[in-house]
Order: sequence, then C-alpha cells, then structure tokens
Amino acid sequence: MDLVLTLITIVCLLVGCFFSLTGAVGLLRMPDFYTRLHPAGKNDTLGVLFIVTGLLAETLKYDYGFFVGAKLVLVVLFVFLTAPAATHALTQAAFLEGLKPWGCNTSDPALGGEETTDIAEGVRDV
Amino acid sequence: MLRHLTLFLVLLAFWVLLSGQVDFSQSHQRYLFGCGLVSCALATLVAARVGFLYEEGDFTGIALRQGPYLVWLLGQILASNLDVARRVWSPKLDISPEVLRIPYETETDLATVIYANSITLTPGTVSVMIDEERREILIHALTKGKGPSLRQMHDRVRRLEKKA
Repeated sequence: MDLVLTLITIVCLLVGCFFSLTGAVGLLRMPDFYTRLHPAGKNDTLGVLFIVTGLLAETLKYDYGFFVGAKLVLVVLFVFLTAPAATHALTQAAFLEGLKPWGCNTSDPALGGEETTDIAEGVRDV
Repeated sequence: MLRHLTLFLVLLAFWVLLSGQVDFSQSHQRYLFGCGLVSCALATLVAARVGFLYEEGDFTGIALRQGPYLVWLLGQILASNLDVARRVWSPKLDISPEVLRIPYETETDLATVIYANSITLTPGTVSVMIDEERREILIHALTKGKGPSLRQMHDRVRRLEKKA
C-alpha cells in the first residue's frame, strides 16, 4: 500500500513539474503579451493540481489526518478560483491600454486597424 | 434571512475545517470555538451590509449544482492543457491567435462569472472583457476554431442556472 502511494506521489509530482516547466517555457517562447498569458496562467494551474494530488497521497501514507488533506484540497480550490481572475485582470488592463494582439485579424472595430504581425507594431508607444 | 443563515453555516464549516477545532473537552477549546462563532457572525453581518447577500437568482442552487459541471470542466482543462503543452514544445510554435466575440445569455452575475472564469481556466482561451451592453464576451484564443466548444460550455453554464 505504501509503495502504491509513493508511486502515485512520484508520478503526480513529475507530471506537475512538467506542466509548470511547460508554463515557463511557453512564457519565454510566445510572441506577445496575450499569447504569453496562455501557457503562463494555465499550465501552472494544472501543475498545482498534480503537485497537490501527489502531496495528498503522501499525507495518506503518513496518516496526517483529515484536516491536513482538506487544507491541501482548499489550496487547489483557491488557485482555480483566483488564477483566472488574475489572468483576466491582466488581459483586460492590457486591452484597455490599447495593446493589440499579435497575429490577429483586428478588423473588429473594438480593436481598430489592420492585422498586426510585427510584435513592435502591436505595442503602443508609452 | 435564509441566505444569512446559509452563509453563516458555510463560514462556520470553513472555520472548523481550517482550525481543526472539533474537541470541546477543555475550556480553552470551548473559548476558541466561541471566537470562531463570533467572527463568522461578524463576517455574515459585514457581507449583508455591503449587499453581498442581495444578488438576484438562485445563488445556493447554482453553487450546489456545480458537481457534474466541475467534472466536465476538469476534463476540458486536461485536454486543452495537453494541447497547449504540445504547441509550446513543438519546434514550429504552432499558434494562430484570434480575437472572438461570443454572446452570452446568462441571467445572473454569478453564472456570468462562472462562464468567464471557465473560459480563462481552459487553456488556449482567455476572457479579455465582458461587454455588458452588447452582452458579449471578448475572448483571446491561442488557436483558431475555439468557438463551438465555448458555445457548448455556455449551454452547460445556462443549464446550471435553469434547473431550479
């Protein structure tokens, strides 16, 4: 039983680390602000989910009791509630400032103007 | 009044969960639990004062019917997370960003928030802005063709709201 739980912990932690790393790599590789938010904000949430699942298996193994596990579940819950709000706040702020998304057909009157393919073009002069 | 009571009980359950106070054999434990009761009551009063409890619609019902929706959402998050991860690691960086406008017909603010939050949680799409006048959500998508799955998500959120 302990062996199974240890294996679950190892697998979950590795998968969680992989998704967190993907978030970081995505942040560096994406071309502009909006596209960067996709891997940064979200792969991290899944990373947290897996890491906490791994830790949950560990609390079962050492018999830490109900309350420790419940707090771990709450950590996931709060990350899932707050991470999208933070991402949304960032995008909205950028959008209201007039930052144009890279590579989009911005024929929408709300975005105004033609397609921006150059990163520098999309960035408003500040 | 029912809402006050519901909020109070939820807060109390939360307080017990965080503090781990379930043993009342000693006087200081009873004192601590009393403190918990007082602070939960205070939080309920403050919430009522700032108008948090007077949101229209079936607030508790929506919260309680989340179960199947959350399971479905988790599946979506997993699937699209793998998709985004694949695109991040692919040498070509296979992305084609797009800005979409999706109409929403949710009646309560809570359902709108659930919908917008779900859009942002699902990797590959971020809700940029909610246009309350035109009743549309402005969405930035990492790849094209996200429209149908977002509409499907909208229908599911609507069902959460309606089943009352």
